[in-house]
Amino acid sequence: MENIMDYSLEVKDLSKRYNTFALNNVSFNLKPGSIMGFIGENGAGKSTTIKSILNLIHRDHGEIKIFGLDNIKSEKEIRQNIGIVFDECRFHDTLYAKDVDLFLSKIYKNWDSKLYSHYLEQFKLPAKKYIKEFSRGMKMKLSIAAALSHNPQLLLLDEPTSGLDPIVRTEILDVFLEFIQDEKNSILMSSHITGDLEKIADYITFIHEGKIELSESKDDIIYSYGILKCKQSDFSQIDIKDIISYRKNSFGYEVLVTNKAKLSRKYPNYIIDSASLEDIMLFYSKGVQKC
Amino acid sequence: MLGLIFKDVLVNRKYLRNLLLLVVFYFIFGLFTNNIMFASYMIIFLGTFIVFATFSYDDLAKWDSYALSLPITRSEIVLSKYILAIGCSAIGSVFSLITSALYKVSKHQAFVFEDYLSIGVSFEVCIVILSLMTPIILKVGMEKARLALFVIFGIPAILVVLLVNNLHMQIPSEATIRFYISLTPIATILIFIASIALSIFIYNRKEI
Repeated sequence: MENIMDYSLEVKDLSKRYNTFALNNVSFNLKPGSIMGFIGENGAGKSTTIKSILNLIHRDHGEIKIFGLDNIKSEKEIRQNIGIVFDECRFHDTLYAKDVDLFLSKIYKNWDSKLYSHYLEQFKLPAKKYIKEFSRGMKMKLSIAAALSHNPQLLLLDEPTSGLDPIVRTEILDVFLEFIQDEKNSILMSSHITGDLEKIADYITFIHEGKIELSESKDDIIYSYGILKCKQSDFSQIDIKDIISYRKNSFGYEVLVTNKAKLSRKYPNYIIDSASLEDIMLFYSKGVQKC
Repeated sequence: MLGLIFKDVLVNRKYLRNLLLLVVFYFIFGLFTNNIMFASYMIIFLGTFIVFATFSYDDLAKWDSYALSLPITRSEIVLSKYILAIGCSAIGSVFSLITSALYKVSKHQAFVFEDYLSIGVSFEVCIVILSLMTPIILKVGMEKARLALFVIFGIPAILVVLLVNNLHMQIPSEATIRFYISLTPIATILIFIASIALSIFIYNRKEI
């Protein structure tokens, strides 16, 4: 996959309907050499989107391209260059870590057994111990070792740090940062642990109730979004066009706004704090959207 | 596909080890009871049932979602199961043939055509069981499919025994039995091919 391409991953108008949930025209693009954090509350549609990308489920509508190729027509070719890590290790408890090398080397054309051994050593994973005896962190590291050892260009990570302690999470995030040093590589990482994404993501796509609410550069989001705080009596002074979402509390109102710098000049009497990704998620999920 | 078969063998390492001990046990049991043919049938059945164990292990590990992210098609995933099952059944059958023949030679008995036939029919029965069960397993998972195993094979077997005993049905003549047995290879092949086609159809539509 040596062609220069605009995007590693293009999702356009992806839709999928279930009885009680639907993905609605989900669209976003992932550039080579970048990490995109895919955030949303539980049940927002992160896993459904990733499953659609992998063809684990059949989409109702939309187009997905990976490395410029259609993800259904060129499925097998694309998968040679994708590494996937799920929220739980998918290797059988009755396997040894070294067994993974034995069978994946027969599946991936570019499988590198030496690289796999290197990762086992780096992660301190015993080669000849049953996977059922591994801790949760060790199982996740094994999944990552397997995902990286065929030199993929795209990593799809579905909540890879979920349930892990901060030390293991930091170790894993460092591996992803090392992976992205090659500018051909890119990562789509879904997570509801926004702190991890604030550390490593270049772009953030936020999904809420099956719809994309924003998909922008992380730095732009952090610099642009803010929380305006005002008293109850002052809330009506805020231009409705400036309100993305708001929450009422005992002190007054907290309003999620964008264009923080501009609104600081427009509303000089009000405090506008920086909004973290977690704040933005909360406001979109729990706040009252502007009409 | 080779990678998947390899995976299944590695996953079932302990199961295979226990199976081997069971095979030795049946063989010794057969030696002492002068009924080596029973051991032969059991070896073939045990070989086939390895593939059902692989389905259980796959369900436990939620392997399907990972397998479908690998550069292999859904058809290859399905075919790998059939190939593994055929391979194990064939190995079991060859082993049965050899051990039965050696036993008969040691007892100065002739290895007659009926012995070959019974091993061949056992192999066919295993292929038919595999053919009927695999699409069901792929559709509903191994846990629910166990119930289907009982319904498909247990109930007809009970009915046949009740019919024969209560209606005093005559057992067909040897010639009739031989005639129907001669048709079974073709029937087995057709059932097997239909099963593969149905399994691939089911798995292609399955959402993980």
